[in-house]
Amino acid sequence: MTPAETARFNALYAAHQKRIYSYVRRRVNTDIVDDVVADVFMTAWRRIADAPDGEETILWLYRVAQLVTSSHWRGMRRRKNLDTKLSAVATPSGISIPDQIVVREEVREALRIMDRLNDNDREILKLSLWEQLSGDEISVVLAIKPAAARQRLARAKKRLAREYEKKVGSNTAAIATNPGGAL
Amino acid sequence: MSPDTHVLALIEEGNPIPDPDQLTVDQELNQLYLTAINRRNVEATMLDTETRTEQSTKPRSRTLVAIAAVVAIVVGVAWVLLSQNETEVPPAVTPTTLVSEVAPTFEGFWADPTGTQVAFQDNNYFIVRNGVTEDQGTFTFLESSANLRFRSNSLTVSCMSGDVGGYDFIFPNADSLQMTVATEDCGEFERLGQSIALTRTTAFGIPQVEVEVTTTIAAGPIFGPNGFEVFIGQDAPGTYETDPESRFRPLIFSTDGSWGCVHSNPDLLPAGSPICGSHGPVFELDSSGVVAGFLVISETGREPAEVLSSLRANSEVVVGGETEFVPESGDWSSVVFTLDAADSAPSRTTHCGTYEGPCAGTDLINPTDTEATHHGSEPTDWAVSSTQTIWLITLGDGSELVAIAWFEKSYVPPEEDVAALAEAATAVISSLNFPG
Repeated sequence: MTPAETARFNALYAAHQKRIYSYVRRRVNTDIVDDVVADVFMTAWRRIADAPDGEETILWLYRVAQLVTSSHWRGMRRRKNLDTKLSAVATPSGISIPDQIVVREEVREALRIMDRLNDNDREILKLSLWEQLSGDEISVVLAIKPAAARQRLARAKKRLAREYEKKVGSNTAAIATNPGGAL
Repeated sequence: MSPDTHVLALIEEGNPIPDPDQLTVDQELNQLYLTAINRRNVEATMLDTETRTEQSTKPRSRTLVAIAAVVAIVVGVAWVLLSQNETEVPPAVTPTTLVSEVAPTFEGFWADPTGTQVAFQDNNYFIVRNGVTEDQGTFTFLESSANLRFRSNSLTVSCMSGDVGGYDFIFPNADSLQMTVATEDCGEFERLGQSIALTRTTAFGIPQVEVEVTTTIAAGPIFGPNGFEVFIGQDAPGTYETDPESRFRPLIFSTDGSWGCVHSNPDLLPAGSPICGSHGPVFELDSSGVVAGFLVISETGREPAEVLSSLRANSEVVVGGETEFVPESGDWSSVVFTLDAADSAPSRTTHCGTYEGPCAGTDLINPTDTEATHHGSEPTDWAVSSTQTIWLITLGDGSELVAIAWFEKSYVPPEEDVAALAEAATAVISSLNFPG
């Protein structure tokens, strides 16, 4: 690595460490956040020559983080199969955010519903709602076309809303049929 | 507000880290500190111009050096931060005496008739079966002292789904220890490394065995009943870089009397732990497939050479070559692994867990899985294809060799440090002796 690249990496690290940490923390178990973040920056170091300048740097890092995190979950799934041979099945997201944070029940329920969406929907929702990325920015992170990103985001929101309505509806129905609360 | 807008607002509200800028420096340090301990290793690697030359023709070496270099850079950043917060940095692998915050009457060593033993000490628990630590972690009391929550240190041994199988996997003889699943947490804590809550259904009616757990039990793994000794092979003390693609971190021998694996959260890995979790760290052979050093932990007091010789005789170990390690009998609770020694080919590494013996061997080996090692090393578009990793092997016959590790030497300590390091490491190991 040349001195210029070293300086560039240092600057990149200083500027974006927190956001990458946050990105990873929002997706993996707290126990392994540090490891995953370290892997992200190791990769960034190896690929520093590929890192774009300016505002796209963080998007590129998100992309790296997304790949590392996905890779991590693939490994977790494989480990499960090899280690346990149990029939237990991991949930798609690999982390139960609702169980890790203190939020009011309504929020917790919404997070659970999001957790039940498929990987792609969940990721794009998080990029939009948590990382606060625009459709164009999401397209960079996911390496898809901007139009496709916007379309996917819209669909994910629809699916989330549909699931939410379904859940809210069933709760309402349960209350209606069992107003006293006794089972 | 429409339902869809409403749920989106709820999701936004549920952001675990709404404002990354509010993250504290401590969190950064928590991550960066670990890299700082590799400083000497990095320096040694960076100064090794010969290695640099080699990396141009050896992808794996290049990666190792690259990773060492990135560590150096991160260390630089860390160093700045550390210098600003020196007093806040916890020691990573120093032997600590944990302060007990639990009811003293609860601490102790419990066993069931089938050989599973559970030790509670200073908020740590150890589950030992046939002399081999199957799981360890921390425990805390919940609302009342009747409820306990266990949190495994291992990411690979934990609650799977809340069913009996998953539960048993954590705690093989929970029933005989008169514990039952207290909550449905397991159903939601489906993730590895999460916790499970247990309840004592009775007042722990199992009689305490004859030994008392005292402070001589370090917060580390328990390998066997007595008399551990550590043998350090040639140039063994020092810092050893583990598989860079793995979540496991280096094995450290340091002059302050500590040694152990380093994890991103030092609190999770007690001082003096020669094994990370239940599987152990990953070590690498050098690119030629030659084992550069070895560490043998034996409880029998035999010399390393004798142990290795015995291994070779009994299990056809061929050091540094194509290796297939097959236990002589099915009694060992581990291990079968294969090693592809070809540098250019993807490695194929596997092992059987230490918790379910005997290891059947091929049933856990997927011959087609040549892209990645069992743990860590997931193939990505930039992944190193050849890792040549070997897992730390844990042998569980309870009487002989307990663990053996092969690793690539990446740092040679000054000669004057070697004796002190060996002595310190031995002292730490001695502190792991299980009384009785």
